Amino acid sequence: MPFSPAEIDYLRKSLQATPTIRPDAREPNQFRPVDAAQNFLPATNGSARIRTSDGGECIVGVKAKVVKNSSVDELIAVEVDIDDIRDDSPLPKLLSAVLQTLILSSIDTNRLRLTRSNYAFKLHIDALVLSHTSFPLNLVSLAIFLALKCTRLPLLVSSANDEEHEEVPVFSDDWEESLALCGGEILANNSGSEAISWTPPLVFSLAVVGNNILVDPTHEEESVSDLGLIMGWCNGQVCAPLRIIDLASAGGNVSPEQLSQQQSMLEQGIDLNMKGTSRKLIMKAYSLLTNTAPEVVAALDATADEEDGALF
Amino acid sequence: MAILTIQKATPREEEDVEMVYSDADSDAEEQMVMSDDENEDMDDNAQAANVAAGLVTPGKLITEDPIWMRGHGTYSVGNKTFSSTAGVVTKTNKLLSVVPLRGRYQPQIGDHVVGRIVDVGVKRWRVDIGAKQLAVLQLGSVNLPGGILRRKQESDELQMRGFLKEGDLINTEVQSLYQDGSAALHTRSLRYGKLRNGVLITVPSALIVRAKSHVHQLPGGVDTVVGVNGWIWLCMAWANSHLTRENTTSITRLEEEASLTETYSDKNEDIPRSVRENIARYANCFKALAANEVGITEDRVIAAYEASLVYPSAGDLIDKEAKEIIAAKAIAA
Amino acid sequence: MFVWELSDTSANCDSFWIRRGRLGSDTGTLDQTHRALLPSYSSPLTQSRHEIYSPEGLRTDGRRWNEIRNFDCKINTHPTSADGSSYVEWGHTKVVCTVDGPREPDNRQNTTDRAVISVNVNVASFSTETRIKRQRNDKRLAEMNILIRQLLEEAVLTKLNPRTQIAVNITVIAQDGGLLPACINAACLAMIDAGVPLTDYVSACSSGVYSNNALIDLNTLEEQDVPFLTIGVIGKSDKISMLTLETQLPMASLEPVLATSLSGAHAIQDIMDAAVRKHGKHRLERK
Repeated sequence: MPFSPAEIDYLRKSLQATPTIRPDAREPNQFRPVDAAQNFLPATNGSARIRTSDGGECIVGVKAKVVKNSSVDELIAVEVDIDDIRDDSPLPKLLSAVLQTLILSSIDTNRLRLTRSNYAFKLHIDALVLSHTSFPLNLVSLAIFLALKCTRLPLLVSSANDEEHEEVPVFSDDWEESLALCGGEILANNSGSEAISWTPPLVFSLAVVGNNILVDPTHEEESVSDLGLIMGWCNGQVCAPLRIIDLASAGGNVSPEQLSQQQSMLEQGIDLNMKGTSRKLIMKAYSLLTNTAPEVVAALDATADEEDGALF
Repeated sequence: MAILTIQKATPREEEDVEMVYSDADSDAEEQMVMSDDENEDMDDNAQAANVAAGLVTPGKLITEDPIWMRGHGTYSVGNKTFSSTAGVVTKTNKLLSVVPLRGRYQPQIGDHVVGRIVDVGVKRWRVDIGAKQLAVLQLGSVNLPGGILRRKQESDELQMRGFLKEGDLINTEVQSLYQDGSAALHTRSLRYGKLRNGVLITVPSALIVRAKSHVHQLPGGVDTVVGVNGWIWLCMAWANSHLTRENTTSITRLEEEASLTETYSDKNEDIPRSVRENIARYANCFKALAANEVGITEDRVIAAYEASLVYPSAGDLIDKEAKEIIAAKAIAA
Repeated sequence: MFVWELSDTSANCDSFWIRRGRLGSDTGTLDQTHRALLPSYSSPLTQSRHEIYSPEGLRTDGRRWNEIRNFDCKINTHPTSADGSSYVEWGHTKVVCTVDGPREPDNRQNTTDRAVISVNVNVASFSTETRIKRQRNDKRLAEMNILIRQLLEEAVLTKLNPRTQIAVNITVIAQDGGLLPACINAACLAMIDAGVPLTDYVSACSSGVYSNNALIDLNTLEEQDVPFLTIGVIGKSDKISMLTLETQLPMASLEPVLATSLSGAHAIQDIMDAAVRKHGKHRLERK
């Protein structure tokens, strides 16, 4: 939805101020409150839903499938489905790729191993974005975090050693004996290493306006941003992916008029909204995230629980 | 200030399931029985009897009395009038209608609304006001620079985007309604026109209480236009603001022309930091009232603002508890 | 307490699915006495080897022939992101529905003298026991869209909102049989929440037959084994506004099956009406 020049000018000047003045007076590192629900889909191994105050909603379901002779890289499959947007368009593909790489590089795949050489679990993480007004990356990332936190995998009762004699995996009937994906026990069982628990990774999109970095940008803030930064967070520090995106149009909210306008600007050789950014700003974003992300993880951990949730 | 607050879904309440079933039964009985009150003024309001009262749902029989005129939210089959929505039965004189519990903004003549230009057509603009259809603003219904009595020229039609283009926000009034309920707007007054120097926020239109004036000057150097359609414009107070100037007869021609040229300008004034912060604070106050479903009036907004000053950082107002506290104080005022 | 089982143990398979489900119920929340029929909680588990209809008259999930599964519905679940919304849980089938409109049509050419309704059913990959990636050109979903739209077009007073469009979005997050009826019921509630004028409630219910016994409201196991049909009705009439039958049903069973699903659909309307009234009272009290 296009804004009037007056609105854009007001927003930009407010956001570029030092310190920044956001439309809802938030601090640069303050997120908007979200609604969360977990564990409400008994047919999945883990499920979660996040709703944001601007009407965004994402439901994630995690299902585990036993696979044989699969390479380690294929054990995590993330698919993001955005309502109203075709699956093969850039936005869902970008989100799926970013999240898949992030989770795969952060998880110790021994958690998914079943037998020494042949069998393992493959996790299908499907995220359904029912509605969104701003770039949905934050939304999906938070939902996937909560879903993974409550994911449980059945306990293997057949032998894990199948190097000589192949055996189809058999699992315990009792769900009470299932193991939390993020817990320590599953790692100790499968690989004999220490029982360390795993905190799923997160990925954030930050808006850059002038010299200011803003977390959890609203649709308005995104429209006037110079550019957006995608930064991952895992194991207590900033991690890949690290990307620069054009937030104003990446959300898929570009009107046909704006698209044709951009097209003609490109043809004339005019630089689009997206300006380059300085090293200083990237470092600023880095330290902002380093200071803020631990609290986000703490808030999520406090919410996550093993009990069954209800959606409403 | 919490970096991130997460609310868990509240568990469902199942206690009043039984009650609900029995109420449904008693409502059904009410429909056909005359209440005692209405018995007393039977002679005047004989027709008031035999009408279902209170909450009705689609398909419910409201009355079999043919004397009523059927308004919105009802439909008739023969002499029987049924409800077509979930809502409350209202009787105004001889008109029987059902006001839906929820629905988009329904324009009425005289409503002061805020809208966004969506389309520029031949001699007219189409404006989004959050209703079921776009509203129409004719070229002849706006004031053009050069004076109110200036004749419309052909060049005006070609230059429509010079006055109002896609994305512009305007302050306007519903002049009339078309057959299908959509609105025709006009800005033929110095009070109306393009909006600058501020931000737009939206709240559900049902929460806007209709008042004599919808333009308010709020403490803190902020002016606001509370559109009846739930679109609210918050901006810097302006000494010569065309928003707040009354339609006086003593406007000189020069003043009038000057203000009209300004009317279509896209440029903002310089807005000091404190005003910007106050605008953000007011935005949060409006949102707090909306989240708690409090009807919005000038007094309540000011009360909410004053209650919010307890929080030095207006960003704390986005939390649910803070919103509830502010809304409670606003109602109490 | 959760129980899960291995769903397939054929020696040849190189991948098989693990399923989880719920055994037993937290009572109190799940029994709703109801005028015509007794909905009872369905616990569809571990009993895949049991009979569809035992000699004692019990089905795989312990219900009798005339008991619908637990039907739980909520209205106005998405107050800020949609004009109307609802959530339906029917047994283990869970469906979210949002309605956007009546509003200005996206396609200006489409303007007519009535509201144009469009329906889009979105099924999540994780909604079924076995994960199925949704195909883009799924014919079954396309047909469901058309069926739901046609049924709604009959009930909605479209002429009251000319030159507008009403978009109905249904998202299925869990499936255990009765998908089409659950979607229709959710759509009806969301329409009411949006304030769209309807002549009456729209509801749907499925029922099938197993060795001369009509069975109401089938779950997945039953749908796979038993011929069944789904009907849609508007109001408490006996006029059937929608009927789908994709399996072979013996002629003699047609009438009892139709009668059974009609009474199921009527019962659902009462439950939906109660939910709407409860919500309405809640709203009116707040004002």
